[in-house]
Amino acid sequence: MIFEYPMEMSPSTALSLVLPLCAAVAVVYKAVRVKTLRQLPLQILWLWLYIFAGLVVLSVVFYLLQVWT
Amino acid sequence: MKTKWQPNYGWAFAAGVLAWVIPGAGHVLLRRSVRGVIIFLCVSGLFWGGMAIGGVFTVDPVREEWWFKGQLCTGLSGIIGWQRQEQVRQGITASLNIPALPPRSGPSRDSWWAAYTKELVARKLALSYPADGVARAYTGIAGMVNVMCIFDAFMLGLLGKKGEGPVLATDEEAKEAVE
Repeated sequence: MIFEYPMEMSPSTALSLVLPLCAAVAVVYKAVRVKTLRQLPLQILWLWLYIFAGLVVLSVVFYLLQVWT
Repeated sequence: MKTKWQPNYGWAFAAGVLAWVIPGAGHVLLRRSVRGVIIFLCVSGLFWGGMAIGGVFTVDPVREEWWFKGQLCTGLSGIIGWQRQEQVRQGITASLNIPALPPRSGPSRDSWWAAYTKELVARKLALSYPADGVARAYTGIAGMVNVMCIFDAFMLGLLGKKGEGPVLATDEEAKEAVE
């Protein structure tokens, strides 16, 4: 039953759920920050890509650290 | 003639408290309804999305105290999740004839956790990797982003700013407000 029992998921599914999480954070942050609502969609898109790119770079750095040490 | 700016504590307090109880409601109170609805949908969607992934023990003050503090920042959603978890946990501990909360120290604490965890697993309520991390990240981050919205609503209320548009119209107005 939903909201009662935990879902079963693979690690790759869990990893893909980072995308909607980043999107929600970007939407809320920009909803608070933008001066006019017309700017909102584009600003959200840029921030979402920025966060995602940051996570990719971090994951590559940590992967390389793990491989080399 | 311009009057000196006065902080509006009444609006700030009302907007801050409302923003905590119902995410986005503080912005709606300050006539920033579109932003309020967006905040409500995102914060509540994140929280209840996390609850759907992790189930009733996503909010767990006994085992995950720090995540719990973050989750409570979502206001009513966090309280509902907490109370539901309390209900289920008390049902489990009553059926096992053990105290509702673990003893603070000693060997009875270990046996309490062993019996409790075994029962959670048997009832298929225990969170496991990777759903535990996803569920707690969703619900905890929902609380963290709501803290940002509470602060924004509080500051807008303090400035007495209602409706869309710039918070302070000009740089001169901003300087006057600071002075």
